[in-house]
Amino acid sequence: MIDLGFCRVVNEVISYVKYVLLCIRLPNCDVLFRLEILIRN
Amino acid sequence: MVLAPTRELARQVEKEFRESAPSLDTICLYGGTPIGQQMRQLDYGVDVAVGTPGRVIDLMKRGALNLSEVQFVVLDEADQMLQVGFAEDVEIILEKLPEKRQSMMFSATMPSWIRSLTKKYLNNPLTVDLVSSIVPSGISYNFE
Repeated sequence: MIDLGFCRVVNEVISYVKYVLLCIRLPNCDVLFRLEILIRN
Repeated sequence: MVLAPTRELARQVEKEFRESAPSLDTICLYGGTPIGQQMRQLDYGVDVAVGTPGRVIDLMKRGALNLSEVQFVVLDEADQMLQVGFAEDVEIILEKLPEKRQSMMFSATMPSWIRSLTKKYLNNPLTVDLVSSIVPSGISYNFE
């Protein structure tokens, strides 16, 4: 069974991280981003 | 051009583009949907194409998607591309992109395929590591 509440939270966290990344001033060169999402209770 | 490993992620990324840059023409390209409508939309030209590698290659083979003028390419969740079997497709697409471009690759883990992809297709990349929180010189993060 899928816990929709949990999925919603995960989606919001992913959107937030992407929003944060959009705010990074990107340099004019190739970039390798390493990120992982940690969710703690 | 943004490549994502799943249609769900592709749709989510395309939605973010639509909401944050409504003046840009965006398109989401993934399988399991009629290809004709995507081909017609591509005919008009787009600013941002987000898609899964399988459908992107299908459209390239049909002559509907021309990557010769791509300026920026993003590989989102690159390690997941390997997990879902898109490694070869990703490399085929990267080979078709112009040499003069900016490439950005996002990955949670760094398996050997990612490292070799980095060496082969990224030009002396700056590494932004949000896992170990090492901030490279010249980069600042702004959280709002």
